[in-house]
Amino acid sequence: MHPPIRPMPSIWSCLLIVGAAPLACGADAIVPAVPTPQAPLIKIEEGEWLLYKGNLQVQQRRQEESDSLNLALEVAYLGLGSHAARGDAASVLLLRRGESPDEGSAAATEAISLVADPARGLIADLPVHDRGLRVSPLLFKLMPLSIFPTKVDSYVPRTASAERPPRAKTPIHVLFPEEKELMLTWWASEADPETKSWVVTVSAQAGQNVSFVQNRVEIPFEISRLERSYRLAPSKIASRPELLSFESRLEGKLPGEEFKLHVELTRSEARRIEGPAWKLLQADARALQEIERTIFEKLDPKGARALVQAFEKERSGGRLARYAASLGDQADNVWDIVHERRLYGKTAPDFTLKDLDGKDVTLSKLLPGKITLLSFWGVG
Amino acid sequence: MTKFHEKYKARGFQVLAVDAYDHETREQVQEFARNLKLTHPIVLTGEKASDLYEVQQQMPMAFWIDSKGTIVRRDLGFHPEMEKETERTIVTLLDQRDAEAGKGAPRPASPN
Repeated sequence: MHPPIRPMPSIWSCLLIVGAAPLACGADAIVPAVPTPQAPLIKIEEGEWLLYKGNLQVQQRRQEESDSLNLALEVAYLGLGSHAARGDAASVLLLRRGESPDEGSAAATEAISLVADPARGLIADLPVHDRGLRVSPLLFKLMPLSIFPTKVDSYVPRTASAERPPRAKTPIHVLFPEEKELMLTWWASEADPETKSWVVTVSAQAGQNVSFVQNRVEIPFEISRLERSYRLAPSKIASRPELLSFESRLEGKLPGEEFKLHVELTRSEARRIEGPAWKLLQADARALQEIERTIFEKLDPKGARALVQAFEKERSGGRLARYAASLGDQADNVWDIVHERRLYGKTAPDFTLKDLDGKDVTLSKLLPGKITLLSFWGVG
Repeated sequence: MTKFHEKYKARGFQVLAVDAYDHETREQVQEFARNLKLTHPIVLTGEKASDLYEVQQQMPMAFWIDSKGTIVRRDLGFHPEMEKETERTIVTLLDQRDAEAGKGAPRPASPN
């Protein structure tokens, strides 16, 4: 049985980043052994579309509590090129859709705009944290922003099975988005001579201490095991090995308790689409980005709602219809922000209405010199 | 709200309730007010007024208006847990008004 996705205690949510970190923050999480070329591993050009299908499994245990999540995952990278001026690569729209095989007990569709940054790989174009909270904190952290470890070309084994000696302390995203320094070892080994796939493993030395701050309280965490491995296969483009699977294990101690986390991401399919199908998808993605901009940049929920309705009408039952619907819900959340901005600091709009005795009450005559609470309600 | 209206009206705090549904009759609202022992003013047929404040059927919604007639805060919904915060807001706004009017140092923002 796979439990439905549910809000988790904040400390869990934070710790779960561990599993996603190498994916979400991959390029920075594992510091390459050699200087890397500026270009990120995955550079999705305008007009490119990449679909990834796989499974995401997360198991965690804290004391006697255990939890697991198993999703059939679909991630689509759509190279749109709308922000090309901001970097040397095109922007992409990342769509993430996850469903539990357990009678759909967990399902989510999310999307985010990413921009390829020369130094950091794919980064979110819109405020991730904010949108993550609005969408689904748990899934947002679990589902990878970037399924490919960027800069992975630096892991290409020069000598198979060659273990590198421990390196000096190296910055790494361990538990939380802020950078930590850990002593790391990494090595590469050939996994399958026939397919020429190989495994890159990055391991942190046991016994290292990190800490994180939550609600201004510093919480120590002692790592007993932190290991991540990537199974990679050569692709047609030498600098773009394909990720076949990812696995991360973290074990350690929080004050008074043991903690274990295991994350697996397995690819079952990755392909590119061209021609009419791509054009249709591209049009959809552009429409969705316009909806996103209308919500998050223009703060225009009414306009966004109209765009969502138009999108749903045209693409009823389509791949992205569900995501469009979720954007409509987010537009409603933005309403509060819009409302506050529009009314705060403004003179209270005046009106005259009858009271229960039939007498006229004019708001502006009541206000001077007083503090007023104007309450709207109904009796029905 | 009626409780605070009574408690702080001598200092200059008031509650004005707007029934935002035009189809609700005076008798219905009177009965409602009687049952809940509401003593603050209530006005009727406030649909257009609720449009002015963009309430959009999200009720109860309350707007805090300072002594100069400016909207300074908005609350959506009302829960028992909000009671302390509501009283704190009343006292804070009254203190600020008094301080600006030169009525001496603001009183501590204690609801008690």
